[in-house]
Amino acid sequence: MNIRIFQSFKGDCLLIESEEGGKRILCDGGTPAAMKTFIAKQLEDIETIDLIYVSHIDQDHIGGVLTLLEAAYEWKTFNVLSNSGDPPRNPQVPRAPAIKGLWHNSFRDLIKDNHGTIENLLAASAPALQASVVPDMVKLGREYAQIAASIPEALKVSRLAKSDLLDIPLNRLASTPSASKKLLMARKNQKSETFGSLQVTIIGPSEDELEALRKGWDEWLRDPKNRKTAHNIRDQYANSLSGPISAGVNPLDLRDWNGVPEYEGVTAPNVASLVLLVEEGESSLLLTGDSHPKMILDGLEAAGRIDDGFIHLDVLKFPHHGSEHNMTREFGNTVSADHYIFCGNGEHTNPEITVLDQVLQSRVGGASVRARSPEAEERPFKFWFNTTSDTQTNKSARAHMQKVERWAEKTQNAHPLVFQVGFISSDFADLRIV
Amino acid sequence: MDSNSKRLHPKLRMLANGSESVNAQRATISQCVASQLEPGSVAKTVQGGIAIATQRAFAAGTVNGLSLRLEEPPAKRQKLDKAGVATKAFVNVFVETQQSDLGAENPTKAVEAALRKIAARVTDDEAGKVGHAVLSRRNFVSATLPIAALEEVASMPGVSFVHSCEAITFNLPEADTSKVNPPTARSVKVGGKRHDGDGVIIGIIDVGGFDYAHPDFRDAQGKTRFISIWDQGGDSRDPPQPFGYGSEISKARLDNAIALGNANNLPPTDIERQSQSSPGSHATHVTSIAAGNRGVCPAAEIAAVLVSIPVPEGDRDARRWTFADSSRIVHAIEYLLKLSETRGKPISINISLGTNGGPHDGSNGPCRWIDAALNHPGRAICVAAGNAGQQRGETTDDLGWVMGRIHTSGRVPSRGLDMDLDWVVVGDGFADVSENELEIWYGAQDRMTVSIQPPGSTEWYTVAPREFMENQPLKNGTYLSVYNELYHPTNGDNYISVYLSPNLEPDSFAPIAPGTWKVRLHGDEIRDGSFHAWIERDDPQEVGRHRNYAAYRFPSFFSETTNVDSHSIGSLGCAHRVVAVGNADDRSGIINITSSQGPTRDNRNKPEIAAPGTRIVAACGFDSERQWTSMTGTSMSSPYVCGVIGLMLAAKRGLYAAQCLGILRRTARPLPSHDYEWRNDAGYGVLNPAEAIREATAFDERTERKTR
Repeated sequence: MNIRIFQSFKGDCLLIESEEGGKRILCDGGTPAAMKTFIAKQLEDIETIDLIYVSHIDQDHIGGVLTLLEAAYEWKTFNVLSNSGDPPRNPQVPRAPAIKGLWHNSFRDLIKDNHGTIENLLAASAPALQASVVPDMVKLGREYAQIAASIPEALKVSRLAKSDLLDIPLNRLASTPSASKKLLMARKNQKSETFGSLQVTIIGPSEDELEALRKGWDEWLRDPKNRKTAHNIRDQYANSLSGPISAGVNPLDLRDWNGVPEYEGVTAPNVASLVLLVEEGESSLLLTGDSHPKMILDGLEAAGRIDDGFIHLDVLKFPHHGSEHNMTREFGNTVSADHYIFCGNGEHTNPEITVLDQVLQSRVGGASVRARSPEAEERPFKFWFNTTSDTQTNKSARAHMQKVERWAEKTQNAHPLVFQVGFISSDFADLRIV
Repeated sequence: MDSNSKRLHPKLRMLANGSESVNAQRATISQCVASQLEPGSVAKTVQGGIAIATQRAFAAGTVNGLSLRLEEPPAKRQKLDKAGVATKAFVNVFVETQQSDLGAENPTKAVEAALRKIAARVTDDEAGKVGHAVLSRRNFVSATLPIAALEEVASMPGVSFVHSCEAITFNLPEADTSKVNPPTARSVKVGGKRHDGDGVIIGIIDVGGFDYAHPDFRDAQGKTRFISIWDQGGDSRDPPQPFGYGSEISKARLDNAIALGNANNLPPTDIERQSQSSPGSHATHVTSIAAGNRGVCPAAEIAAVLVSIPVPEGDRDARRWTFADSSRIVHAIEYLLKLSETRGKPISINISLGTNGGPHDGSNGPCRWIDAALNHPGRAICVAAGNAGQQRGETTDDLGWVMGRIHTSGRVPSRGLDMDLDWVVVGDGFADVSENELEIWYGAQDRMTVSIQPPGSTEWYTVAPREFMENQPLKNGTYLSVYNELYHPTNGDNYISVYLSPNLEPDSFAPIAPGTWKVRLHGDEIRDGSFHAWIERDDPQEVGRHRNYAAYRFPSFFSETTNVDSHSIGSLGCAHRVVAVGNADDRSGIINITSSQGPTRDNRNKPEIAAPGTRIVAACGFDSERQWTSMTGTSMSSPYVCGVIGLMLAAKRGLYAAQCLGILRRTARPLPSHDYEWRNDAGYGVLNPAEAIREATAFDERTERKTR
């Protein structure tokens, strides 16, 4: 298979092409700006995309997909008008390929009954939190704002896919028609989907995990303390328009709702990332979205992929832009790969140097941290970064990417025989696995 | 200062004093300035490429602004003669001309021709985006001009004053997301006979997109009742002439889209697109009230103009190109009047948008233009009074009052005494990167000196009558401009304009210093001493992040003690011949607290009338799941009156706007427990449609009386 890794700012975007049958899967779409700047023009000459897989609804994953679907729709309606003999001005966006399928779990389907109230509370507390000058609160507010902002985007994606607009089959599984159109998840005895020579298996989330997530959100909503805290912040904010804000609220109180301690520090929608294992002959690629390592391991175990206590892949799309909450020793022990893809541009200091170190140690470190797979022993491996410091306009992001570049250079000097690195400085790079 | 500058509105002088790069940056945050330059691209002297790229991205809203340097002192500004005047930035003006003597040739045509020449210097590429229309009416010429040409225009013979344009405010009601039942038809019956507005045009000037394919706007054949839509921010079709910008969509095209939509199972509004199509669109709701099938005028033709909003969805960079000021409303009116003329039908126009700047006495460019246009039978215009009536929150998280504290007034009791005004610019998490403007008006017989004290400073910057201060950098990074002018050419009153500008230099961008700016009025000579002041404000809108700050275009406001709760009616509503409409909550029998109050500064009774505007159900545009939605605001009241005037014009084609106003005043019903006295929020009372039509039909029937 060929994996095209796009420049996608802080988001993820990969295009997978099968060796046989010419099938293509687009994995997330990066940010809207990334889609406009780098990705859309590369997709213009492609006739069809067989599947768009949206790992989860965060804006840096779904935003670019929405941009692509909007372009596809604009061209579709443009053609209708042109064929009637009265063409308007050409759409100002590149022509989008035909899209044959979409995998995407919507927030509303995940949350079910309470989605409206949860969305309102999120939207109400996000600006208040962001307006505070307490860094933790600002950060939390940004997370809330991102969820609040991505929900309508996800709705738009679902809307565009419907039969009266773009008519893209949503969550349709050829192998398990009974599960089609519902939430996608790892189900017992669920077969893999076939795209040409590609076999795609859903590894996670499981039904239990989705249920836990839904409960977590409900608890967050029901807990009067949370409502009160959100209101307190807003009151303070309202009262402080002409005076200084006092940070009487501990922002960390707001996170207590998350009743799933293992996932602490990972925002809620992240834990619902769809995790896919893509295989072609002997080649394998694990797509993890922003999933938590424990959830990935549980999924691999349930799928019988780590019966020997390890899995060695050709390619691992490292979860959650290499953020610090997404790496554990157990993960490093269990999962190894020839190619690690990190999608992060330095914003929020992703990918974290500590995470890069941990992954590196899983290959070259002491026995306790080292990957168990014999295949990982002494074998060269490569770290891919989907951007460079030069591409960043934001100073802090640029500084962090420079740090990553220095780390990579140092690591290369230290482990010249096994460690390789690739920074993507143009619009994309191809990684071919056979 | 050379003498020509006195003929320029102070705001234009302040703009003309800004360099090319400053005005390029300004264009990204201001609705009244457009520029073809990317911010930063002319400033070659700044250090490093990162800073410029970041500024640009920040201004475009694509980066969070973490790398903007806030705490460092602003770099020294280049002198204007070195930096170069702004030839690539544009502004809309109303040029007022004056005949020198009775019998002398009217200079309007000559000025218009000269302005056309200047406008012709604008390249086609630029013109396609900003427009280059030069229009004239009576002694006014409206034009889009390069900022660099302002001085030249002021010096033209025959030009008496160059008016600036006010920003349109977008403090608009939002669609309620709860489920509502379809509205009962707003049918108006007189003597058992339904009036339906057949034979008139309802013209709507609004934002959010017109859902022309909504069932509320279809005729018996399933075709749309819209006869035309001018999408001022669109470019999918040719622009209407002579305006030269936007996209005009004909009825044939709208109907073609409906047919194609049916054939292809696609929403017609996605086939023939407008530049805005927001679910629950304001424009669609407003149109539905005035002229939907369940509205007041179900048989009227509908003509529509879609005004650009400052941030087109998904394309913040386009903000640089976008004008959203009063010139666009004036063009929209002219467009609709022309339609009415060519179709030979009377027209009732609704404007549920507003502006705040200007003298609030109907003497500014747009108001006088509108009054001149209404001096013709079969035309009327309704304007929403505004939703700035609230001065403090009803609940702790109610921020509506921020929009409400825009006016203050008072008296400097005698010579030598001071009056202090508190003008609050929000800080603490917000960085206000937009311009803040304050205009103070006082009588010609007085003389006042103004002093400004920045927040936390002990320094006062003092400007006496006939003095000015232009773009002076303060220690806190803000630029201050103050103009203390005597005898405004249109109303003879004295006025003081104060502008706080953020540092717009590309290499040292900094927001306006937050806190309370003190404005002190000192009586130099007092005979009357009364004054009014208004804040020309922005609507809150986040334009990016800046360290811990959310960078905002944010409204500044008066402190609670300074604010005076009256005269908050939008400046468009102050025109003599328009109907200004307040928001009645007819279920509770009161006026909604958010409804803006009158009177005008020259004590005319506006708003004239109130109409139901609270929880009004009408068409929900561009929403596949809901056909109807509920909204609250004077935006909903105004189209109700517009529709009723449509019925009056259908009954009596020759009515003048002034007569419509008179009939509405006469027939209005007081709210419960009110009497017939004019009130500053309800006007003369609540609209009484049937009585107004009866009066319109019968008022000019004459009965001759004989002595025997």
